[in-house]
Amino acid sequence: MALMRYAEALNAALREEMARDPNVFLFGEDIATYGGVFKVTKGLLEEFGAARVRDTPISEQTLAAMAVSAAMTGTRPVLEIMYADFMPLVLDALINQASVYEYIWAGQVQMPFVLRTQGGGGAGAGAQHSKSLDALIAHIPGLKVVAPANPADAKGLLKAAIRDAQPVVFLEHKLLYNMRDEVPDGDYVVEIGKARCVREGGDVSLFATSRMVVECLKAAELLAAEGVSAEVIDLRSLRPLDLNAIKRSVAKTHHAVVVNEGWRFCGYAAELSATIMDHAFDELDAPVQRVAMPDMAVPYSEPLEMAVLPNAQKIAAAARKALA
Amino acid sequence: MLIDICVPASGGEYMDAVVVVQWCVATGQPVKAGQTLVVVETAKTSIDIDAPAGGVMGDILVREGTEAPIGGVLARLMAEEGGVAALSSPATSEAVDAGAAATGAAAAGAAAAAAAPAHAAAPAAAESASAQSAGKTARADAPDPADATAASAPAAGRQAVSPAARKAARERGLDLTGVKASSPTGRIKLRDLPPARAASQPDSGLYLQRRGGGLGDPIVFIHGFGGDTVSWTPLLAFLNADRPAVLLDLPSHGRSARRKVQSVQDLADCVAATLHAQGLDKVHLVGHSLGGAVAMLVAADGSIDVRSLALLAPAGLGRDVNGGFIRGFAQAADVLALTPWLRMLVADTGLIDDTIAALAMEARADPALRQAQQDMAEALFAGASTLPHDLRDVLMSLDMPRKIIWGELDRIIPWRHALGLDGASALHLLPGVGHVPQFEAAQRVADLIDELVRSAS
Amino acid sequence: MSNLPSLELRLEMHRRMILTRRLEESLGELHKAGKTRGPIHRCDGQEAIGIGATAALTRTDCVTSTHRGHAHYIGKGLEPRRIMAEIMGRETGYCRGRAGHMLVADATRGLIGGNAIVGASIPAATGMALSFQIQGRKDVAMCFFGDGAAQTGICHESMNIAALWKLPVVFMLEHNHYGLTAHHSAQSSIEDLSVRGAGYGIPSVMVDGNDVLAVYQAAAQAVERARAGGGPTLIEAKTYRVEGFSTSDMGGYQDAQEIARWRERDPIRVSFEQLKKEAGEARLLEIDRQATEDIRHAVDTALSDPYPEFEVFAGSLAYSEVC
Repeated sequence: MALMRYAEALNAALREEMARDPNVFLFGEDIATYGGVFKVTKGLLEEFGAARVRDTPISEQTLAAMAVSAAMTGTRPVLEIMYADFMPLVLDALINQASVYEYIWAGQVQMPFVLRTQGGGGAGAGAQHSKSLDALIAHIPGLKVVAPANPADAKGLLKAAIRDAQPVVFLEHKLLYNMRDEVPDGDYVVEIGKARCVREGGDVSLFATSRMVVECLKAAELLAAEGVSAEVIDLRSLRPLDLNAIKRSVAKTHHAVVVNEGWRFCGYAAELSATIMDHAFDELDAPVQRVAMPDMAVPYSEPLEMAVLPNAQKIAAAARKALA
Repeated sequence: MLIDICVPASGGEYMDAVVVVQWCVATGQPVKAGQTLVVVETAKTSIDIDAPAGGVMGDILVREGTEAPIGGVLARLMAEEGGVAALSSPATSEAVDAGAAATGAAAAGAAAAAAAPAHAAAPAAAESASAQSAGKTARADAPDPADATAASAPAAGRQAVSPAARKAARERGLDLTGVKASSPTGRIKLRDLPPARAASQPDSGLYLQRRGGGLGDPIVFIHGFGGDTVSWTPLLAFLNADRPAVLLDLPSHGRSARRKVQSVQDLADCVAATLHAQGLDKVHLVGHSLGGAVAMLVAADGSIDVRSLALLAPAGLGRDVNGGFIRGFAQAADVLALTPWLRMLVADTGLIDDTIAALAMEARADPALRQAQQDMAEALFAGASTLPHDLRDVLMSLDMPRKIIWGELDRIIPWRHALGLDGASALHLLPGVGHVPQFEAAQRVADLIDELVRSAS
Repeated sequence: MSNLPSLELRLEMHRRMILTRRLEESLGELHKAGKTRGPIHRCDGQEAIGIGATAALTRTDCVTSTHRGHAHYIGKGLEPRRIMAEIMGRETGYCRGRAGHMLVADATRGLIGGNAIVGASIPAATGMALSFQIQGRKDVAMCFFGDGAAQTGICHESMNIAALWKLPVVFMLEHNHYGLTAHHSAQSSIEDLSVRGAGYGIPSVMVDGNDVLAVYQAAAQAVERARAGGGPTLIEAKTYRVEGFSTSDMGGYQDAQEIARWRERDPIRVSFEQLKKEAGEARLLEIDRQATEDIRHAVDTALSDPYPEFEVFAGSLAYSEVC
């Protein structure tokens, strides 16, 4: 075990996987010489050389397509897309290429690549650098989508993602990079598709990923002071979803709050809500409550930005509404 | 006019009594014709007894958990003038149907029983279909009480009810009309339903059922992991009728509330508290498997005067236990997955047919129950196949007459755990028998228990 | 580098062009008979580029193609029967009927694959070339794309990166003068797109796209360069499609005289004239007859092949099975 930052845990995962498999290579903007704008790839150029750690021109659309076809022909690329807000440029490669080939070519190819990006608001980065586009990405068949909420999962999930035979979109959060926590040493791998109960409770279930897990834990504290016992489930994988964990928790508490930092309408939380409806309808003692961003651009000024982001207060209020 | 609400005549071939499971109305409550008044259990199935007429509920004469003879009067109903239906109520003819279905080809009846609850989704209110059964049956043919009452409810606009409350009401046969919604949303929620029987029991909340009568100190039967009160039915048929039998459901089993349990001692404490709350302070104990470990701890505890102790394939006398069985059995979510584990319980696998497997799975249909049992297994059986307590010293510290009864072919807990004790407990090793001697050799086990109880009285 | 390839190779290229042409003609007939599904993009008149360029590749070199890729398929050695079966949606097709005519792939022959997103073949080949470079493989990636695709952002980005990293990729630009219905002059102010190579630092060459030999020689040189670590090449091959943008084309935007002029320079005819002295007309006619027969047989067989059964794609799990 070692205490380390989320960014350092990612770095360790990359280092270990690159040492383990010579076909793993990294490319992206500013990742080599500078070590990445969030320092996730720091030191890797020195250790593994310029052939395997490459700075690229600003060409997200092409880089993503290259990741797809490179993965198809024997290597395991890890592409960094600096901001999730640039994902729309990447969507053609994901939707029209990565999503279709395994099926339409009847299993002739696999595409084991990882696309790492970071998103989320709260840093004053403005409307074009603060988004969470989880719904757009999780909607795509043929991909896996994961979002670690703490350093240990950051390391474990990134290793799993790199080793996975399918494309994985790896969603980091700009406000989690400095989170410090215990990370297991060595070859620590977290299974994709498995959620984790990070706080047990009996009255209401709070489901979230990424930084929203932190907000849910704070909400659980607020609720505990009122005598309400909240269970917090860190989904970890947006796709595939750990259905058993969701069913188990809702069967226990009968009340569900789903939280996602993306926009509310047609957002990821809407899928969670539908999933709970499909699979745990008879366990619900109240409608599923959704906490998400209002359908608007993320504003810049601090009071404005804080007003739109989901937070512990809003989550606790949703829990109270469910329990009313 | 005052009408007797009686126990229907054909509750099953081999029973001359039924057990009252749950009263659905209270004295003084207005009732409608056709509304379910009480649920009773027979040897084969459970039956709803409906009001033959509308009126006001009168005195309740037989309380929950107690037996009533066929034809006996359970309660009285003050019927409205001119609203009296024939006294052969719909409930009685349903009972006939249920009885016929059950006594007909056992497979057909049980298949119908197994099919019905897929709709009702109710693992509660079950009974063994025949002397052969090792698990529960489901309700046969009983109409969904909530539907019946909805049909006769005034067409006053749709009541908003949460899915969970609707499901609970259906399972418990509750009428939702007249239930007030406490939520500002106007939606009836779980908390608005009358408290479940398990919660209304004093103190401990363990479900308890009394059978039979007589003057002797009662024999308390404690089932094993994954079991319930119903599993004792074959054995009870062979026991001497000179004293009452008391059947308990352990926490998170059968009809007892789910409870987080850290140790076997926790279970023993629950059992002792339940017995004490029921005034059962002097009893004989019979425990099977995990229930055997519990029985030993209750006997040692001293708060209950245990007159004799019969341990059937008990846990706690040795460290190795078939952990794969515990896990597999607890997790199995469908008949296909459960059947191999059921077969592992007995020596003659032919005893476990599709009917029995289906009924056993029905009793475990509730995933929350299964999960609670899996959680308990994790807490009690630390590591794959070990028990956290070695109760050999506990057993050897006791001084009441005791017997250990074990099947030689037990594949769950090895009978050899019974060796190397102090010689004060009689060991009866049954050839050709597996882990459930009370089912596989019911007559022999009943004789041994009778003998033990007689010797201790 | 301008050694003439062997007669055998030239005859083989000739044969493949005819195979391609007969395949396209069969598809045209089937379309008229109402037996095809969805629009088909024929490459009649452009065969020399696909056949000539792929002839310079080995089996493990990779090709990314377009929506108009039948010549690329045949050139990479795919069997007509299985191509036809795929276009007819049969189980025996290269992709078990799942892909259709624009998206055919055969990974065993490096054809991965057809692509209906205009320009997508370009970054795809660039990525494969990167993969080869990282693994130290001596293979080359070749992408085919049209003048319409040459205007896409991904084309520019790919050429920039390929040159920057000296990737072993060959950019084959099939300039057929039309992007769907828009003439090239409405899509770019530059007549000869190969001048753009200089903008990226990529050596470029322009060839007569209807002369299979010229195409072959340019391609062979580019492949050599790439394999030797010399980076990418841009080959602009001027050609013309005589059968419209697809079977849904209602025509009216191509000048009749223009079409007639290009038909005069039909690549199969050009090749015939080139070869007749050395090989003799009889032999060339026999090749034609045999190729025609091969395609007819392929079509008949494919049409009697079974349809596939539906199976849900197990690789797109929304829910995990992890307990």
